[in-house]
Amino acid sequence: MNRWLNILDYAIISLLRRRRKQIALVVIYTLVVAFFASVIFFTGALRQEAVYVLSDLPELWVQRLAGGRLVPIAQSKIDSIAVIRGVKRVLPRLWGYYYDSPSGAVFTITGSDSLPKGLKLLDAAIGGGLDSNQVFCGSGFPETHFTGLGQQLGLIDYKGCLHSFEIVGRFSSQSDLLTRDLIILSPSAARKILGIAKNNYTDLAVEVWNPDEAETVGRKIDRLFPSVRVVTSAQLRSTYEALFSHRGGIFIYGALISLFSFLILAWDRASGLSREERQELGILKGIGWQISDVLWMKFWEGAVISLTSTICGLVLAYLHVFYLNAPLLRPFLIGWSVLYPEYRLQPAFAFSEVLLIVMLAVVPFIAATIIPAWRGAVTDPAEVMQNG
Amino acid sequence: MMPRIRVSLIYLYVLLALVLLFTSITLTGHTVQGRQRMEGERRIAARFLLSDLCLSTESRHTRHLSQPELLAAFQDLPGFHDHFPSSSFIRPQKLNWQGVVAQETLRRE
Repeated sequence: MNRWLNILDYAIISLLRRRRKQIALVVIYTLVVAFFASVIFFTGALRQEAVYVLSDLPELWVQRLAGGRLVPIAQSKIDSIAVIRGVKRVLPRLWGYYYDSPSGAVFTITGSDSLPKGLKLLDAAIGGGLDSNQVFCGSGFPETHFTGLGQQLGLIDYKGCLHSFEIVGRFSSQSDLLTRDLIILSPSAARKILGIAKNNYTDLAVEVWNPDEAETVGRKIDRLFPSVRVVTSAQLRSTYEALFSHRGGIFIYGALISLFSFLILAWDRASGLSREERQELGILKGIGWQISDVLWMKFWEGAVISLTSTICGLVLAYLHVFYLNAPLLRPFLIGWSVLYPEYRLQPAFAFSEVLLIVMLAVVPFIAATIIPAWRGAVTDPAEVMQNG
Repeated sequence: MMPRIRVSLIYLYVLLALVLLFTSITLTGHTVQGRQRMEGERRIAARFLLSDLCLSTESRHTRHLSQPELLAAFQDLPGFHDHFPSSSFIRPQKLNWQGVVAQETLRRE
């Protein structure tokens, strides 16, 4: 034990002799690891959020296509799908987009006639159903129009007529990740604004009795109605699981490239021992150090730098993503959006992710310090001391 | 005589402190409020049949990732994307039976 501590003592003192260079290296190393780890933490938290929030949805989504476009689906389809064996319930959806020219934002309009009871994230002035002149909305519309509960919200229908609605409920900004751009109207008002005829719906959500049979029921619907497209909830979930996955996403590529380019630079720097370092190794061997001692000393030098930087990077990344809400990553996702959610992510900690970061950040660096040291350590000490 | 202070021990204590700091912030990061918020969002999604998260509102296919719109380029399946900054994050899925059906539907029409 004492021997290890002595070697570690020597390695740290040796690093401190070149402290300016080593501190600069640790700072850059920490920032690179922090960026890479931020990406991993951010994407992991978003995946966790999507999978959890969307876990209670119906198994199938049925949409009608005509000329390659989504078109409203008729009430008669609901009746036909409802009698298919295995189908529990068919839930028609009324939804569409609304471009709001004063703010330049695009909102999502949804038709619904009642409120779920006891929803903590909704501040509602009424308890029952929505009247045709009332509206619930996410935090987006009130913020862009400086309005609030009890005030009026104006929407222009597809014929160009202005309709005024009273805001009777507002979703908390805590649910922004789901409701930021949402405007919920009564079904009749939603039809009016979106231009959907009576007895028509945007699409259908289909619940099945046995979720394992969802794909079979989906194929059946697809065969029975040639003009429909069926999206399964498994596809829906895998869309979000694939989103930001390790293989997809410019962030991951960018972060990996930055990490590897740093490691290549570190390798390049470490692979050629300086004259001073070669002489140091020669002297150490001359005074009786074994090759294994020299290698252990170099190993500890690399380990001190890489472990310190990696752990500091992990702490920085965690604070960046979960305490500061990822200010460096979110703008990329927002893109050209006028309206974007101000969400706070619930940390998703996976040991495998931390292990991945540590393996990628620590192992190559230590290898990059040990291999040239081994080459230096096996040369004759007298030759090294004479020639440098 | 004063005992010699070992730099190695000081370093190991600092490293241990950093590891403990990281472990404690990760263990305390999960808040009850966070879990309640996600549970509330899950109920809203189920009640209003909201199939997608509002990650970006710049285009239809990144606002509703799972609801492909065939008019937009490459929108054959959930997760397919067009040329918007936020599209860069999304990996398209492999074509499966729905995709094949969608293509056949297009040909029939």
